Amino acid sequence: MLRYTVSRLLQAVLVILVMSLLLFMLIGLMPGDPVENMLEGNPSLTPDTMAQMRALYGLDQPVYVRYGHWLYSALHGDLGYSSVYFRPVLEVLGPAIVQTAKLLVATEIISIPLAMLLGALAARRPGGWTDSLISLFAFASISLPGFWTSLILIIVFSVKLGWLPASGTPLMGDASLSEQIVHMILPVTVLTFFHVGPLVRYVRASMIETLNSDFVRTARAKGLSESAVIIRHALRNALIPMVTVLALGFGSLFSGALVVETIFGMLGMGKIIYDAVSNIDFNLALVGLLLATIVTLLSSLLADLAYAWLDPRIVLK
Amino acid sequence: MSTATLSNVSTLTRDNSVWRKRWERFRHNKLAMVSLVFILLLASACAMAGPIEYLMGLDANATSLLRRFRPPSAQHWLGTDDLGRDVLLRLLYGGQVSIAVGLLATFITAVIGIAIGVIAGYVGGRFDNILMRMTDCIIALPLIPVLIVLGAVDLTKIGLSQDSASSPTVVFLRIVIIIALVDWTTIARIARAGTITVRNVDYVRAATVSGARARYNVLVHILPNIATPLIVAMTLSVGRIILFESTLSFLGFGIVPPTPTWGNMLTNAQQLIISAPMLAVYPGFLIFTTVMAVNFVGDGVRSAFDPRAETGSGSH
Repeated sequence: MLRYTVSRLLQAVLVILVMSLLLFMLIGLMPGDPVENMLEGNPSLTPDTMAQMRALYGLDQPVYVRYGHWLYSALHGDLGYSSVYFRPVLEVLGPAIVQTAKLLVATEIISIPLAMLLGALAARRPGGWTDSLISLFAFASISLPGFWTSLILIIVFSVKLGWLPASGTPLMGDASLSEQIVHMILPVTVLTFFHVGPLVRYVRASMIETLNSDFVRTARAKGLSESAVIIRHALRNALIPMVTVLALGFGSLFSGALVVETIFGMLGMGKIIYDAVSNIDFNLALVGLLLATIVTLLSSLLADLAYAWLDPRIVLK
Repeated sequence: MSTATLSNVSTLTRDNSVWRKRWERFRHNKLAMVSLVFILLLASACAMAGPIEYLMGLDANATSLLRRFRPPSAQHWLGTDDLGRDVLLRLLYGGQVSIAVGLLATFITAVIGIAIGVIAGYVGGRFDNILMRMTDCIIALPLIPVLIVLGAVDLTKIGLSQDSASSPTVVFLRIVIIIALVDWTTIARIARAGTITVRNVDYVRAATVSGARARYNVLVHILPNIATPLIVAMTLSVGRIILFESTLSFLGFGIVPPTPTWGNMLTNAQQLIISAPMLAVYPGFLIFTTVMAVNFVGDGVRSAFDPRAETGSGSH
């Protein structure tokens, strides 16, 4: 187990390094030139000063040299400045991470029990009308474009009914908890609807398999009530693989968060990355993307480990 | 299973009856059939956008400030948008783009995915390991942010001229290619798993021992036997790719106006949500129903091709 953990961690570090190089090269291909962006509109700008600036920032060097420099300073804790906010990127990303974390945690807190409930209900009688209805719901969930659901909810609840705000994140501290919650209702609804479909299908499949296994038959034969069989025996076992599904779904949930944050104007990680790419803020886009990638990779690593820990039948090698 | 007998008996009659049985099963799946008909009708309507435009005497790109936000009428069945353009025609032209991106990107995804998956599964060993680690990495990526960066890449920096980089064909191909670049992993995994199973079946080993080359084995034994899960995966991939394209175009990193797509029609609609909410309803509704229909067809194909799965989940 320890050996497995260490080797997976080393692999993860390697992957993160490769990803950082790829992202570094990709971000370099975005339009524009950092020096030109920085000095835009400056009347004293001559080709000479531009060349000097380039040399000063090392931009005249080949990409691997620049990556080397970037990696060296990154490992020393210097991730550079955002050219739009004029602040260190981590200072910009800090509050955004908190914002996105709130959004994602709220979504998971609602999605997981909801998926368990719907999945278990559907699995009780596969092919029955409850099952068909729930399966229709799951299909709708994977087919709905999140940005459209957001627009429709805004039209109904903000424009027509005027019940909920359509945008804005009240910054922490100067907004009351209730105000923050009110602003989260629509985004969390969209994300939950987007996230819960695949989970429901998973719980259903896993429950059907578990309900057909010997220990459930034994539990039934002992005369346990149906609810005890489902909740205490079947559901608990069906949930083990869900750890993996949740972790693998993190990337797509984060993608959903980007769309939702952009539409609802919430300053989270997704919107920061989107704005950074739109405004060609090289450093901010790079670090934001890299952080998102690292979190996704680590979550899938944690899932594998948790899987083994929860289910002693699994031996990792 | 009967896979061995199936591929040995390669006479046409036998093949035909397998496909006929599958079609029979598919035909009895009401949801899948309705979805298939819906998709075919929608696709033909989109393909007919040009003739319809001509017959109704309209011009899809003509803007007029006097005709803004018209309600539905005999001439403009769904009204006009903020620039006075006919909404129905733009929806049909947008559909052409969305469906074309979905099909073409799925095709490229399938070619890359099947090639990599089959090679990894057939060769095995270290090569397989490296390829599968690569797919793991891509699967773990948050796709939309990565697609946005890929969509923002300045093509002149990789050697295209200014003119060709902004031509509609290049913009279209670019979105197809970037989606294919991140989406091939699903199909690669399925192809690899199938290849490994088939490779170790006795008759393939026998063929290998009798001197069959890798290419022969792959073409004659492996590909036909892993076709079923691949066809299902490809169908589902069309829906997913239409969603990717519309999301990217909505965010402004996909296909850009004036070429309409269901995604970028919604970008504008967001600004007009108070004055013209219906403009935000139509394109999204088409994306939703199209993707849903594609997914139902995929599900129908799955159960038509693999009746065991159906009975397995239906019985206790």
